[in-house]
Amino acid sequence: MSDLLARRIVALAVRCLPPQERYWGRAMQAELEEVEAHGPALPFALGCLVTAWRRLPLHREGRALLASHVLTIGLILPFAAFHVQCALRGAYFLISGRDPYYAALTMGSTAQQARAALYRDMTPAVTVLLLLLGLAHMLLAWAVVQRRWQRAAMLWLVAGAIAAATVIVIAPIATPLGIVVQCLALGIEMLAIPVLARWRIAPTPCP
Amino acid sequence: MRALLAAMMADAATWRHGYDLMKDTGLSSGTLYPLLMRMTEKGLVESEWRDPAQPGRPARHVYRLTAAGVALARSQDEGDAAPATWVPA
Repeated sequence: MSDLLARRIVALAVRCLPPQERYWGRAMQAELEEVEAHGPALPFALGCLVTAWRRLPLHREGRALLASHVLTIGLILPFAAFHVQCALRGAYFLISGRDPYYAALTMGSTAQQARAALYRDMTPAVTVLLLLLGLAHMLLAWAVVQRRWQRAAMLWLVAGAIAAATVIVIAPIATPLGIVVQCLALGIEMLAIPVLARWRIAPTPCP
Repeated sequence: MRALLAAMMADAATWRHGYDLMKDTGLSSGTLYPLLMRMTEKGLVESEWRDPAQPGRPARHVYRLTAAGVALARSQDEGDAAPATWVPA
């Protein structure tokens, strides 16, 4: 079990190395067999992975890999979590009829009460849109990490369309600041993915 | 790098496996391989593939110091051997 894990880790290390340094990875894989014959191979395998990761910032492919993971972990996944959490809150409101924002609006002025009614009526559509947006972001995160750029581009378009629909639907009930923040964050994301894909797809100059 | 240079200098003409170097120097793979990569890039170490000693095993990578590597190891040895001189203030 430990040896299998060690082999998987070294295989991952090999994939993290740039093509012109893959022979170092093959050297590590060959040495792993010797290490396995003499003792635990896991520390050796982890050392190989650390070596490959330390090389990442030194080559174009590695920098693209780091950038895609930073984009995924720092932006796309938090977006997915945020939208799914909002969708769950909408679903809870639909089932229980309880929501602090709705409750606050119903106790306000006539205009706020009208807004509360609009909020209640729009909740099913917004909940579905937010759930779709969250799911689209999860799939987008997976496609970016897997470096499947055609799939990422398709999901990017889908997420963009859902985001635009969501902004249009929630515009009457959201605060201007909320709309601006949402548009800004989506704009950064929508710009970052094609830039990263273009950078990643550009041919690597051979030495 | 000193430990690796010293280990490889012990028998500079001999090709060494990565695992042997780890055992001799006490370095982990996470330290040894970056050093070997950097030293190879700088022309201090050369490497080649060797056919496996046993059938069914993969070919292994072996390493040894180049002339530049040997010169660097010698200069470090001389630096270590030179007595520290006291300079009066």
